[in-house]
Amino acid sequence: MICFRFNQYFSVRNCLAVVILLAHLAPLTLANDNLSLSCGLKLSKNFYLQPGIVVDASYKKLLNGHPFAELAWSTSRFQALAQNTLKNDNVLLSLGWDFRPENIIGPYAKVDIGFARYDIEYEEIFGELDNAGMILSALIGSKCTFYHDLITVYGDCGYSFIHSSTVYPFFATVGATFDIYRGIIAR
Amino acid sequence: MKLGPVLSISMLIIIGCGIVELDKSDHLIDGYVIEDPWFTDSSYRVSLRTDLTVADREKPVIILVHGYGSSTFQWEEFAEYAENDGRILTSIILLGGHGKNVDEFKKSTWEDWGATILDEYRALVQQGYTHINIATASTGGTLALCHIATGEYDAHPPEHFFLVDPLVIPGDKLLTLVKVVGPMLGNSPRDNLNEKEQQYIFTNRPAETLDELYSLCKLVRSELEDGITLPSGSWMKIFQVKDDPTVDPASSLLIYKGVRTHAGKKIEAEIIDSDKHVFTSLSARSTVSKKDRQLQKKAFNEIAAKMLE
Repeated sequence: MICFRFNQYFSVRNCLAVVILLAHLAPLTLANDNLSLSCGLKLSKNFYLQPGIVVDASYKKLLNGHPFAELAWSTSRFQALAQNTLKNDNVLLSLGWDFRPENIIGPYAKVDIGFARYDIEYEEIFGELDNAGMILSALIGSKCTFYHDLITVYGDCGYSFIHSSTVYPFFATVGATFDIYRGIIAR
Repeated sequence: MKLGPVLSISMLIIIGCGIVELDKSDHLIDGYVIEDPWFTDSSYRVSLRTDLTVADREKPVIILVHGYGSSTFQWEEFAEYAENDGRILTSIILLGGHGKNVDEFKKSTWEDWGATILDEYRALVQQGYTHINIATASTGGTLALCHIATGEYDAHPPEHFFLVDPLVIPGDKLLTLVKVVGPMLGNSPRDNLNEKEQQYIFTNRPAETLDELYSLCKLVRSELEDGITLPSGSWMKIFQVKDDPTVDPASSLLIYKGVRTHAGKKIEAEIIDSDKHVFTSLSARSTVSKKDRQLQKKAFNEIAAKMLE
């Protein structure tokens, strides 16, 4: 296993920039009722209970709309404002398979690849700690769409194959997204 | 960062094979032949020593607490160091449920483990010792933090706490699965102990005790997140090994963030350039380098110097 040191590449600012860029690129795609681009919020429980932002995309004409991709960021920084927690960020790129994309309720499976990193505070003492780790996990979940398939609520649980200081084996996520492409941009 | 798939697959295979039985062989402390001398030798505890005088109560006394599954041997090197110095009294504690056999260990709870620490501390207070200190290894530190959080030391604060590789975040994250797979496994024996270590450290790790350990870790982590304040006048230092295979070194950062002195100041912490969990205990290890000895000696000198200030 090659261990990456993400510190020089990763920052919350960079990841937010990627998410915002994807959202701005949406109008440049082919104006198409088959495209779905959703943004939303998620709450993920692993080492910490971390809220975050998620962007996912799918294309109905690609393999009947089964595959989807997702980019997500979650953080413990809000909790760190009130408690003595590590300031941890998880960034995930997911590739998933929606088993019943046309159904209101349907199961899905996905694989997450990403990384987790916590801030090294008091660097003069703890500067040598290994504060980042890769994430590789598999999940199964279920989604429910309503309001003309624009709003999706989902929940999943999964197992992480790589563990680090802030990545434990089991985790669960709930979230809700809104299809900004079909709901706002394409109208 | 640890790669989990090999361990995960191993666990699945073990689960498929059934429950892992307890090994109570005679050459293990887990069995019924070897027993920690703490049970028969009262000199381990200062409170039970009959050779000490009233004048000795002015000396600093340090309660030495070992870690999960270990025994009094874990602090014997420091006790020998202190005895050679002559100015410090050492009281080596055996955690409740430890040191006898694995059946006693299996029945014990984390409250039982910590009870003997408090028993000795209270006995020393009652006998009039005024310079009480506490040094812990691994889970001993977790217990000490729990006792501090619940105010056990508020009435007669220890002067110093020395935490060596204290456990809050386990190195092996599979410990978090103990509630799920523990009942199926029954036992998760260590496979990295040499023949000498097997006489001092439990080879078996019954699922019940791992569950207790993880519950204790979660409790202390929660207390740290809310903030732990040391008793008035107490001082604390963490010694954390950088490449600890048993305790995730991020534990030390969590403790550093979560604990404050009574005056609101930060505690002290040091990251030690070593890969030996509880680097202060070297006697039973298979390989010990010159650097290991130097790090141990440096820590011993620092602990003693702080107590004699």
